[in-house]
Amino acid sequence: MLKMNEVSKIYRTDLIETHALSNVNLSIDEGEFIAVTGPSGSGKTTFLNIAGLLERFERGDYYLDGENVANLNDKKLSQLRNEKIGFIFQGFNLISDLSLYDNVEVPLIFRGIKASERKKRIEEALELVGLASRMKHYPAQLSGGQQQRVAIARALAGKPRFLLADEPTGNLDSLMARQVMDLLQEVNQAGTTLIMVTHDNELARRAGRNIQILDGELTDITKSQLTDLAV
Amino acid sequence: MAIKHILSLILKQKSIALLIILQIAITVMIVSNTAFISYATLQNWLIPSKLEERQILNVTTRVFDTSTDVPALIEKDIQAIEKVPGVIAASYAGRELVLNSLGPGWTIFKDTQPETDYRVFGYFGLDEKGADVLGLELVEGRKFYASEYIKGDETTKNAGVMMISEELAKSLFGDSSALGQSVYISRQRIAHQVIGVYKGKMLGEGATYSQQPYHSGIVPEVIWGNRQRVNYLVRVEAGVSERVLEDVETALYHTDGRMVDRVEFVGRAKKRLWDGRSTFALTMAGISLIACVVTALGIVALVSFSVSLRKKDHGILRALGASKGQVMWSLIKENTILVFIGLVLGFGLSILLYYFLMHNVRVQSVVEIPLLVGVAIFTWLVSTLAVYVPAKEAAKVSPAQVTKSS
Repeated sequence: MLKMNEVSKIYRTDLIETHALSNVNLSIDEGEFIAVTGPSGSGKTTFLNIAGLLERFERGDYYLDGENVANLNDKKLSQLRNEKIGFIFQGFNLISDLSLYDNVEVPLIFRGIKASERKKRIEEALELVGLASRMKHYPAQLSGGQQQRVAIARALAGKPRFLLADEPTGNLDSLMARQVMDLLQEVNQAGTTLIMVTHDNELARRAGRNIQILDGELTDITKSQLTDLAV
Repeated sequence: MAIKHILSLILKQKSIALLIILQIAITVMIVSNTAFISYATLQNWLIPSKLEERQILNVTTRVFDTSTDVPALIEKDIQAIEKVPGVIAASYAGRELVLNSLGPGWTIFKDTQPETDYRVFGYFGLDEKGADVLGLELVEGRKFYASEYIKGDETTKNAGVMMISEELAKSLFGDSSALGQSVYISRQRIAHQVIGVYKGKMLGEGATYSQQPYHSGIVPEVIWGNRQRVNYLVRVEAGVSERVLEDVETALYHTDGRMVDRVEFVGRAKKRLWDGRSTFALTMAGISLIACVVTALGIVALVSFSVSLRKKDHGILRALGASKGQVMWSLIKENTILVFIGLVLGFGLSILLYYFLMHNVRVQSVVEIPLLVGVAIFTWLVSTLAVYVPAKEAAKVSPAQVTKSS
């Protein structure tokens, strides 16, 4: 379903080259829940951005549902991102000037989904995250946890194959974090592949599979290694 | 994004939206009115004079010796001109054809009531041969009797009779006959009786400028008063060469105390007049261009500012699957909504300015719907071009960079 062969990402300036990811090899099956851990600056977010088609990479091949995305143009990458991937960011990244309903609707419009179908999906998604009654509210009227739930609803409304979460509970208190994590786990159990970047070992333990990134190199680890290696 | 989302974003940035709308509205007001004025001006270019422009000459001379016997000079000049090969007849003309501009008193009334509407018109004093030289064609009434002509330097005299153009007659009297009717010239309401109605000709610029090109009148007067100008109209044979101009000038040249200013075909005089008009229209187009450039720069600045404020939103849209083209298109749609509102406001302001100019400034202008449509399309194109650069920048926002920040 998701396969990376020797994927490398290098950031260049006039003076230095930084190898953010080095020869990453990875295969993820449908329905997996993967937690990606590693110290700050190790390349976790770069990995997630490449997996989510937000950034290009220099070398290697990346197959998403069997399609090599290495040489696709912006339009095709955007389309794949819109149809197959849902994002959940640490900072929520909702559009503050749009209502919750509109925030969830925007990616569906880019996909060309009809209005009646959009309405059904938005209502279902907001219902799932427990915010159906507040769909006309604006993000600023919600707590951080509620905003993250809206972001999850926005991701789920598109019925993505992959859900990519970058520190989804990083800005939340422990209660909110638990609620959001429970929700993500429910979504995963319903069949959506979940790849989550986190600093939190407790959260990482909830994943079915753990991956560690150190200095741009990616390795599978066990849960017991998680405790020893995490920073 | 859907229109409702774009409207939401516009409403959240009211100040920028309002500035863009105002800029569009003011531009539309300026460009529409310069277009109206240019169009009306150039339209006059196309009005046929209905004069035989290659068979009538304008001759203008200036008498600078105050002791000159003007009646004798006129008689001598006409004889000299008529001896030139190719010349059929020559006539004294009080004013120049085509080029003559109107004075403030060039108005005609059909009665002496204070509130009566007036018509702007051009009127010309001609001698006995004048009607034939001009090729006037009567549709009603008669030409002047020999006894009706008055000549001399006494400017307070008037003949009391006149011929008027068919269009002026209809404008003053509708379907009733103008023959025998009294008309009153200038604010002094100098009475004249209409004795003939002729098919309209474009005689003077002033009437044309007032968009009444065929409103004219002719009086049987050869009154030079204390003016230095002594002008002639000359009818020449069809197909005559331009040499006739030189020959006429030579015939008038050897007279002491007088100089010949110009001998030219009426067609040439008309062209010179219209050349001036086209320069005016070009100036108007230049003003429009400046207004458009200022607006375009303003839109670039405002949209760039707006884009910088919404950089994160554009990155989020990209992360959610919007292609660069879709981000650009959403900004162009947003701009189109603002342009549309600006156009509606601008058209209202255009009409107000049009009425202001028509009532307060002596300017020829005409509201033309196709011109408004053209201005609308042009304004949209200019503003879309102006939005293109900042929209392209917005589409370049890296979603990975923008979404990284918390």
